[in-house]
Amino acid sequence: MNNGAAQKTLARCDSVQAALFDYLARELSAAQSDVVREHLRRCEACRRAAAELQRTVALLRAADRGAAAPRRLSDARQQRLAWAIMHPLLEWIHHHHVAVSIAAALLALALAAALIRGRELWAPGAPAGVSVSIGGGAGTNAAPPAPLAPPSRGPDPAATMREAAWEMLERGASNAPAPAAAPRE
Amino acid sequence: MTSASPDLSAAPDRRRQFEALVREYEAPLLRYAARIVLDNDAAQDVVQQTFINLLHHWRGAWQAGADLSNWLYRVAHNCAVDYLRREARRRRLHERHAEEQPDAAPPDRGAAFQVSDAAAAAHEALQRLSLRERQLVILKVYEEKSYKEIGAITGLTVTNVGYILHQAMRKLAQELRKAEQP
Repeated sequence: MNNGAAQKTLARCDSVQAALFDYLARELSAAQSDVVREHLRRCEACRRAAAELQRTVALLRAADRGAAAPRRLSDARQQRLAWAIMHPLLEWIHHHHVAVSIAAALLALALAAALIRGRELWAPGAPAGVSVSIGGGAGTNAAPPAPLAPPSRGPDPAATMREAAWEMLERGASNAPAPAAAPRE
Repeated sequence: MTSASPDLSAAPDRRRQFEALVREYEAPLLRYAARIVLDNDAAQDVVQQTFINLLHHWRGAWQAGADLSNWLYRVAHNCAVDYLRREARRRRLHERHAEEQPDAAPPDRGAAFQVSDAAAAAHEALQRLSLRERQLVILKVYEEKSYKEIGAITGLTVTNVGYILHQAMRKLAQELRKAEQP
């Protein structure tokens, strides 16, 4: 605020009284303080208001509970802080004990569910060919998982090829000439 | 000679820095918390919790300065408010219990604190202000913080700080005037 504006707004009693605490708290600029000081020199009512504010502040200070406050943390609390800085992981768990408890409970539930599911799968008399899929639960449009092995229909093609290969080897061995000599050691 | 080996002195350094900060700020924070919660033991709890929050949540350097100081005051205030809420709940339960058992009386937490009648009236008037007004009066009158620092601690603008303080001081002066009238 420039000097002219300050003169205009702070020259009246109501404006000065609105700024009195700021003035006493030294929160006004030098120019604003000059205006208030000059006004107080001339105005008895505003001087009384300023004195009342000063007295209120003095009484508040006389009734200060902070003066009776301890200056240091107790030994037990100092030790607690020393523990916190020396054991950051334990302290983190202690500090976030609600979140850690919830996470532990969820993990325990998940493990229990997995265990029960596993026992059902391995129980005697369980239906063969049970497939396990992720993300394809009831109500979704996911395609059913592929069976683990195709159903056997007719001869195994791999076995047929193996037999054909043996036949060719045997035929080739009977037509081939005898080796000239045994390989030298 | 420089080397890429890990700094083995980092942990003791961290501990030393933390202890230095505790030594630097424990007294002003204990005073501030005691003014809010009006109980020295509770003030100790509040300040201990404030330093634990410093361990967990402060992301800047562990060096004394305006930023850290303002942050600590803000956290201490929040911890004090949490304490006051818990205490209000506990008091309500106590009052309900006292209605059932008329012999039980709440402890007088102000018994050990004796001041003049006028100062006691000022103290009572201060307790009747809203928590926000009380916070600002404490920060200005007792902690002697500037409006700018109070703004940084509370998140208010400097103009708002000035306005709320002006209103609060007017209310206090009015209450004292009333208390002194026969």
